[in-house]
Amino acid sequence: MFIDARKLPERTMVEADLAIVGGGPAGITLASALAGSRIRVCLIEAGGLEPDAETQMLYEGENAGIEYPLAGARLRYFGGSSNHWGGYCRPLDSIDFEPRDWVPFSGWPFTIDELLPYYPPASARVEVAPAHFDDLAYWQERTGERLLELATRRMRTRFVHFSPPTRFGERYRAELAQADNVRVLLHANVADIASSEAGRTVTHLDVRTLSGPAHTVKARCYVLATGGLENARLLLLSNKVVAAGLGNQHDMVGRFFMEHPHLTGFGEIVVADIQRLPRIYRERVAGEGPVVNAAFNPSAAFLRERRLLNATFMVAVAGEYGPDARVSDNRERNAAHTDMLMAARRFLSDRDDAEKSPELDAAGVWLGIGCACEQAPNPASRVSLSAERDALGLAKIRLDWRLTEQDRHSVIEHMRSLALEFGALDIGRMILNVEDDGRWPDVVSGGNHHMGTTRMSDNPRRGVVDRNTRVHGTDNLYIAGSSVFPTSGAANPTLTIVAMTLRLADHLRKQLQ
Amino acid sequence: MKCVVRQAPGGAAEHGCTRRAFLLAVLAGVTGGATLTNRYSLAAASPEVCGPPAWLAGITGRRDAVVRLGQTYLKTRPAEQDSDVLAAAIDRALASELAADARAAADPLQVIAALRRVVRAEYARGEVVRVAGWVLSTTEARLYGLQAALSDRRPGIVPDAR
Repeated sequence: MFIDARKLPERTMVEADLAIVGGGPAGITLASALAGSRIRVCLIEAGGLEPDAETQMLYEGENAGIEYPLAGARLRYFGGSSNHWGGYCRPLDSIDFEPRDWVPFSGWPFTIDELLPYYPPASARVEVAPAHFDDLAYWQERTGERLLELATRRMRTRFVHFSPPTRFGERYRAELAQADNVRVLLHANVADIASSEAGRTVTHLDVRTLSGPAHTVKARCYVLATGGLENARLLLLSNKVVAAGLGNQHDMVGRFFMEHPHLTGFGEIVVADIQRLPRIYRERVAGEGPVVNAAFNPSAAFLRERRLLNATFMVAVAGEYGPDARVSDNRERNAAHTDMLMAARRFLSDRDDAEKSPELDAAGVWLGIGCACEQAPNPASRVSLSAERDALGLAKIRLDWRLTEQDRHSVIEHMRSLALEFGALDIGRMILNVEDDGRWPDVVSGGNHHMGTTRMSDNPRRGVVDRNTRVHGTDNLYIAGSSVFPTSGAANPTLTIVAMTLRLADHLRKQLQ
Repeated sequence: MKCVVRQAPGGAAEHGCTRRAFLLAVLAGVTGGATLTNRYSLAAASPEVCGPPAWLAGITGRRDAVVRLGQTYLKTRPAEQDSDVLAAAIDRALASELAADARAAADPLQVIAALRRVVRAEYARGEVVRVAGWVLSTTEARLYGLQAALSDRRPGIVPDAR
């Protein structure tokens, strides 16, 4: 059942066994996983079924570090940020879970084995099943093309699967509407998580609407699933009992904000003979279910040897050169690319057009490079509260996103590895547009992946939630979503968010039944 | 892969270079007294007469583009702004591929094939340099540098395309 909180009588009390705050991929997955059970679920969504500007503005905030689009990087209506999700799916790598002595604060409380049973059902929920993330033989047979035998032992081939993408609000709306045990409260903004003395037990949630009525949600158990930024903000806002914020006894809430830093235009690859790069590496190829792109991912051995962070790279044709090509008006870039194509043509092509004409000599394509690079956990990269207030009178978010030399060095080193692979295989030549000078370029963006701000650790002094994602020191409060990731890995987070949420659903089912 | 070995009509000038290198190679095979460096240095010694040696013309692409990249490489490496130094360095890189086979060392097609292997292997091992932002194998960059060095010794050889 869907309920518009604006139309409820003032001070309505909604009771449930489980209150889930946030109707994005995590919240909807949790409610859906428990649909049909005996557990009475109340899913609380701040927005409606469609976007509206007034609600979206509640995501505005203050940047103290690298400029970040706080209101644009997430969506505040049913379905949450899945409403602008690109659909990229890949599990984390085994090494992402390990403590690495060269990555401060690394290590999950469990290994990848804990999550492996949850990736297949998560793949089904994001509509990429049957998934073949690491199955080279499968994709070789499927495409009929020989996959690259990478030459440097630095990189390996992995397969990113593309969800349609699943818009969780649309995809699971009917299921939730039909479930007798699920109520979805729309236009309901949680303003405070009320707790008993010392924050040991959450007693209820204070819910407000932008148009006036305020309500209360009371449950046995609560799950925050409002995203990697808002989960931390909500804990910090809930400071009536614990002054530093709920779960923040050790000043950990909001710290360790991580993204997957992107560098726009930081490198390009020219290729004279595109047939040397199998199609699955440069465009999406259909499998039994999902469409797939091959990606370049550093091997664990190389990461250990060079003490680097993880990364995933994908390439795609971005421009073309030749007699009939429509060339962009970026003359400087065109000149650099065509010079390289002409100079290295005999390494890169079997075609003997040499010196027949400059147009033929310079024929080829250039590849753009996309990446998801791991950012090392950094306590100084953090979410806190701003002095400014939003339309509900609540302190806005303040984000101080920081990147380090370790993050930068890893990106550059992996870019170099990609250049080496393309060179060693006589496929192409790469130009690096960033200098290895110890400075981040002026323009850095993220992938709208907000991670780490309520990190998971068995040690309350190093994390906000335990291995079951229960908030340390609070009996009945859990967190779902990428804010619990202790490290970010180099895979887009949605698939792992869903897998972790299915794991949490199993845990809560046992706790509440 | 097909390679282009440029030959002047009648096989005059460039053929002469190849034959000279071939003779030196044979001599080296007989006496063991000549090095790969000697051979390529000599082959590249008189570009105004014979143009770039066939193996160099056959491995690098369009000359104006090659020279532009090569000049950029040489600007950052003053110690290599000499064709003999560059040829010697390229020879050293080739040594593992051709040292035992003097006849192959005299055949431009085999030299080109060996250079391809050397360049691929350098990429695989990470033996690269940055030239105008491009990540290039050390030997590949030196090949471009050698073309630039030779063209400097023969003004007018490089069309001023842009």
